[in-house]
Amino acid sequence: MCGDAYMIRHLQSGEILIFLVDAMGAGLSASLTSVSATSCINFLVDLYEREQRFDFGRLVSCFLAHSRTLLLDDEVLSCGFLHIGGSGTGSGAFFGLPPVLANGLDGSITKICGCNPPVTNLTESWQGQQVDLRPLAGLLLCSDGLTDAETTGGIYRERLGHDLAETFLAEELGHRFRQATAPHDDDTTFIRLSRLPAAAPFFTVTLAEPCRGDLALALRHLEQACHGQGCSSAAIDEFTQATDEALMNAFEHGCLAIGGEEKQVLIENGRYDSAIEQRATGGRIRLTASLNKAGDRHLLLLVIEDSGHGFDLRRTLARDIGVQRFQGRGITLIRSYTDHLAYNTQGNQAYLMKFVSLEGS
Amino acid sequence: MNIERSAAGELTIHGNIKSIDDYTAIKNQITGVIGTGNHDLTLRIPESFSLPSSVIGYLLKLKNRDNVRIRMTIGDRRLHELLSDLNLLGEFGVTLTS
Repeated sequence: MCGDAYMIRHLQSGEILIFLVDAMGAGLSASLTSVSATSCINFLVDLYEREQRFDFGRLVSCFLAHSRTLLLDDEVLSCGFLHIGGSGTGSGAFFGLPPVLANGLDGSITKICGCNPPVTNLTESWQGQQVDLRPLAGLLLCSDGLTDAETTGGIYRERLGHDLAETFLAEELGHRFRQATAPHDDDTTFIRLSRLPAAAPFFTVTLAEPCRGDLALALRHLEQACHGQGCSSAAIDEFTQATDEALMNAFEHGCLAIGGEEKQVLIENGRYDSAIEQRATGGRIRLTASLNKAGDRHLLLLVIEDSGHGFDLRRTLARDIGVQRFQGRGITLIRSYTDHLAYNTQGNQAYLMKFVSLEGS
Repeated sequence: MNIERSAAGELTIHGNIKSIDDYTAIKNQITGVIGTGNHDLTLRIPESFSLPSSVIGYLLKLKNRDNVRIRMTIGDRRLHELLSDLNLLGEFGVTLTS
C-alpha cells in the first residue's frame, strides 16, 4: 500500500497533464487518500475532455474543493500539477512537494519552488506559476521519499542535482538513487521528463508494402550505417537484435494486421511461416536513426514508425506471458538489448535508445 | 550463424542468433532432427548472446504442443540472464557452461 500516486494524461489537444501526490503517513489510510486524489483528477479530466473544455485552473480549484471533503482535520497532502502545452510553456501548481528540478540545455540545474503549502481541508486559494520549457533539457518532479532518503553522511537531495545532470533516462537516475541510499520506509516517486535529442538522422529508409526480405535488407543497411558512424561492434550487435524484434512487430502487427491472438493460433497450427510469406502486405514502415550527444555520452536513437493502427501498450505489458503463450515476448527482448524503449500514444511509433561507445574512444 | 548436427538429437548453433532468417534455418534443422519421431532435442548455443522471440515461441510450441523434451546448453551469460528474465530456464532445461 503506497501513499504516493501519479497520473499522466495525454489530452485531446495534444497537451499533457501530470499529477503527483504524496499523502501523509503510510499504509491503508495514505493509500486511500492518494488513490482518491488521482481518481478525482481522472474524473475531472474525463469530464472536461468529453465536454472539450479542459481548463487547468478550474481543474486545480475543483481538486482542492474535493480535498476539503476528503481530508481529515489533521491531514495534509503534498501534490503537484504540471500542464504542458504545445507552445513550449507549462503551467504548474505545486503544493508542498520538493522543488521541481529543471536541467537546462546549457547543463545548468535550477530549482522551481512551489508557491503553495501542502493541501489541507481548509485550502481554498492557490497560486499557479508558468514554466518555460524551451530552454530545458528536462524536468524532475518528485516526492520527498526521493529527496529525503538517507545516504552515507547526508540525504539524497544533496546529490540529486548532480545525478540528474549526469543521466538522461529515468532508469539511470533510479539506479543511482538505489546505489546511494539504503532501503527505507517512505514511498519514493519521481517523474522525469527528458527532451529527445534532435541530431540530424544518419539513416532513413521507408519500406512500402514490405516483405520479410525487405526487413532483413533494411537491417543490414542500418548495421552498416551504424558502423559508419563509428559505433562499437558490441553495441551494434545488441541494437540490431532489438531492431529486428521491433521491425517484426511493425511488420506483423502494423503491415500484415496479425494480432497477438491470431499469431498464437498460427504458431500452434504450424501456419505462422506461411502466413508471414503469403499474406498480402500493405502499409509502410519508416526507420530513422540518429546519433546524439547526451552529456558526455552518445545516444543512438532509432524511430520505427508503421502505418498500422497501433496497440495498447499498457494492456500488452500487463499480460501474463506464460509458457503456453508462444508469442508476446518481443518487447521484453527489445528492452533487454536497449537502454530505453518508448512508444507514442497510438502505439505505431517505437523509439529505441541505446548509449553507445564509439570505436577508438 | 551456422548449425551442425553434433550428435543424435543434438544441434550446435554457432555464432549469434539474430534474425528471422536464423529462425527459419533453426526451425528447418530441428524439423529434420525430430521429424523421425525423436522427442528429445538438445540445443548447444555456445556463443550467442540472444535468442529471437520467434525461436523462443517455436521452442515453446515444440515442448508444450508437440511434447518434445528440450535441453539447452548455452555459453553466454547474457542469454542465460535473458532466459531467466523470461522464466524459461526450467522450461528449456538450461545449463550455462561458462
